[in-house]
Amino acid sequence: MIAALAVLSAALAAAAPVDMSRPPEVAPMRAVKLPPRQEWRLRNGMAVVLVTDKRVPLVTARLAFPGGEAAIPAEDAGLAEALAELLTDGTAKKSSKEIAEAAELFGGSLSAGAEPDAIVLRASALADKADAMASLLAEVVRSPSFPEAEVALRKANMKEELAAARAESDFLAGVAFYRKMFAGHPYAVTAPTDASIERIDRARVLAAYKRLFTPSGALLVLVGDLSRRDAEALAVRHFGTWQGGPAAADAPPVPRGKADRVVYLLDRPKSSQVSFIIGNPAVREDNPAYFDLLIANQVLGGSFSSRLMRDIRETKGYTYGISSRLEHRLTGSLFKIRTPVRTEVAEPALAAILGHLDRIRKDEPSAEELKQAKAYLAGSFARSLETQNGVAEAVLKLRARRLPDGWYDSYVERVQAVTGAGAKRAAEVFIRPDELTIVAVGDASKAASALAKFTKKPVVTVDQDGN
Amino acid sequence: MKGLLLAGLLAAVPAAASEPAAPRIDFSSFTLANGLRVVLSRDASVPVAAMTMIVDVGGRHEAPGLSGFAHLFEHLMFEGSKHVARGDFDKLLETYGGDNNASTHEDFTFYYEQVPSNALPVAVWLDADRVGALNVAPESVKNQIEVVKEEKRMRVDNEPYGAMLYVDMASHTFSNWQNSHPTIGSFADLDAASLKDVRAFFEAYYSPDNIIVAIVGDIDLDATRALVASYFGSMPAKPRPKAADTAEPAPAGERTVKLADEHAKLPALGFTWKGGPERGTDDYYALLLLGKALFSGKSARLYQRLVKESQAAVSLDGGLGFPISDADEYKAPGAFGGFVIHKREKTASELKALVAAEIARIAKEGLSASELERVKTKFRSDWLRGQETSLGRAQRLLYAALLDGDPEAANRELSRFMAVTPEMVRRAAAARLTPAAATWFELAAGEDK
Repeated sequence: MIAALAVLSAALAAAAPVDMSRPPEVAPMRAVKLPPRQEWRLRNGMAVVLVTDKRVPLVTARLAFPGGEAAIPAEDAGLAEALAELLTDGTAKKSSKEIAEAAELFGGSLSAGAEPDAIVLRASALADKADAMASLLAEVVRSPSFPEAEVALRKANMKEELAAARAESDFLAGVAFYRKMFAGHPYAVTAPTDASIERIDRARVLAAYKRLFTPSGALLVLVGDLSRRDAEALAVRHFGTWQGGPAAADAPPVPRGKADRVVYLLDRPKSSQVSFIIGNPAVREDNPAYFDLLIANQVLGGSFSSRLMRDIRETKGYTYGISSRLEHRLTGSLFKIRTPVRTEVAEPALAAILGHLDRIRKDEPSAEELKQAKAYLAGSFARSLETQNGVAEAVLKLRARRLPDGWYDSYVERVQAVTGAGAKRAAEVFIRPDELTIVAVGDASKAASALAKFTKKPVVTVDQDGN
Repeated sequence: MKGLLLAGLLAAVPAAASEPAAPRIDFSSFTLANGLRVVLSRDASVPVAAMTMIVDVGGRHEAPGLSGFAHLFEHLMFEGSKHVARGDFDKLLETYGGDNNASTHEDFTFYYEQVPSNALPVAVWLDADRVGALNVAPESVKNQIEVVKEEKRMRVDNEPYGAMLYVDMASHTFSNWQNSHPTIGSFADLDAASLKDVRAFFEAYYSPDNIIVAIVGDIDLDATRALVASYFGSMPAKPRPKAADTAEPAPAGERTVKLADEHAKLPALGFTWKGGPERGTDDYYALLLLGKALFSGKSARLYQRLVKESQAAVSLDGGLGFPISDADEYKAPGAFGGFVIHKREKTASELKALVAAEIARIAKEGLSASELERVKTKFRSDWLRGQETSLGRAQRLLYAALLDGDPEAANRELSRFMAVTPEMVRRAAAARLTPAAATWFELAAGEDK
């Protein structure tokens, strides 16, 4: 204690008056890479990736099966989600409650969710209980029982959840946006309908399970206080004897973008806001122009101090939040802006957003904007590596999206290498104001005529299922 | 991780015989002459650092007529200071790869910046400038009042169940205005806010002796001490008004409040028991874990009873502090509450009977030993996960320093939770979750359009 105090008073005594007028000089950022991975494959085709991480006595897992929502026919929308949820609702040996209890007993969690291109299980545990975690993971993917009562309950709850979700403008806007953006493609379907939920039964769930759950093509990611030797033994013990057919095929390529800008409107009477989702097709992360576009998007709307947030929220006060992002599926990517605005300002808000799209295509971002966008992306990446979940998600993305091995290791360098000219060129090519899909959810009696000004075609009315 | 010998030397409390429940967050702390308390903790595994501040002012400190001020003020803290132009705060931080946010709570306001560790001096400079020389400009105040109103529209007025969770449950649970008014404030009070009121609020509460700073991550301890001292050391402390009286009268008997929500598609039942325990007492640890046992995850009692067995409900949430504060920031006088979205064909009384029966059962029998063991194991693992990031460790140290009066509580509290027994839970439920202390909220859904 005395020693500590002495150091402190020395420090305080040394505290000279500082120059408050400008930010202090700082050293360059320390290098950041994804932590080292060890990878191998089981004889049955399952790939395993291990990142040994001893920072906290925890272990985190991902188990992914290719296919997902895109592997399910449109009339069965919601089946992948139901299947994923039902995995943890009963096995040959355990009830739903016993599964949940087992997860609590290893001090963690276990959940499964359907994504566009995969069904992904996410689990975590205290490090000394990693084996119990792997055992439960294996049990729910290898011998789920899909009890009739659980299927019926899931179905009933999906109906209620759908009804509840439809109260949210953002949800409705999302349903319609993907429906129009990916028209005719499996990616168009992001939510069930009353009719598709009605079709869900045990036989359909079981058939989908048999088709999608096979060790061939599956990926197990382990991050935590675990040695290679223990991880290998654990993978073989719980998954080694599993046999199955071929993995699900990739989704087909997505359709080409629209030739014209089209505005879709879903009427939500009395809504005090208009929820917008706006977008057009973009490119994969391994496209040579990807990092240029990433920076352009970052300058435009990727963060709190990006142009959209500062202008539409801070200066104009039209909304509480607005952002733009690049979004990826296995065979299709898109650029997307999302914002709810006050109904009275729907027209000036949309005009202002389009103005920003023109500007990002026409002028190079300033040196300051460029520097900021780069630092933000590099800093975000560094921060994401603080948690096992962050590391596990990065590894999952690297493998599931089949990115080049060193994609994350060179991420910071490639972000830093983008030039203003490159960002402008990428924006010009990949942000396409005249070909946008614009979805609005709001009070049609107040918003329809304003929205009509943004398209040469008639505003298309859509229903709550986006049709 | 830290060496055993070092941990033993630094431990302020006698080492327990068994293995520690969580790795220690080693820290050092000091106080500047102006009263600013500072906590530092080093872990260099990732080149990231968190600069965090907790200000001892929240919704509960507001004076009648000034509801929403703590929150409005949180917004104004991003609107520019003597050397940082309006809008430059976020921009500057992002220039260095940092991220930041803030949140206003019943009992405090929390600010953080997460930065690549090389940029820590910038975060310290930014915070020192806004605490020491905030620029409270008329146009910023006007603009932020609009932003706050829009936030209220989005989260409360236009969001299903928003009014119930953010406004109505607190206003009917508590009778002292300090506790019952919403932290988000009212449009009337916000519209009436004068520049003088806003400046007075800043002068009163944003004083170094009302703030605790925690800096955690890839930092050099000596350099960081000097950094904080040089940037914050010259600020004078300012006088503060007497703390508001937050005492709450004893519960006045069971009540039922009927609410309607045109945005909600499904009906809901809310419930609170007022008269929650003080932090650091047996009942506090017991009720916090009981909240997890009832509401958290698929193995939770009420999830099993309401969603699985009776199939009356769709989803639920709740626990100690709910819905007014999260369990980890709970402070008395508080409540224990819950919220259940239920099926249209079930009535509120059916749901209420199920909830009341489960609570009565716990007041009689407590939790089973294995059930409590499970909840504790999960709680311990969540606690560890909360310690993964430098921001998480900083926040834990600050909550401990402010709410428990000692940052060392960040290392001590987990073992207190691990010591809860089934009988402690039974006793706490029997004493506090009584019908007479309960308020029930029956929310009718809007018509199907």
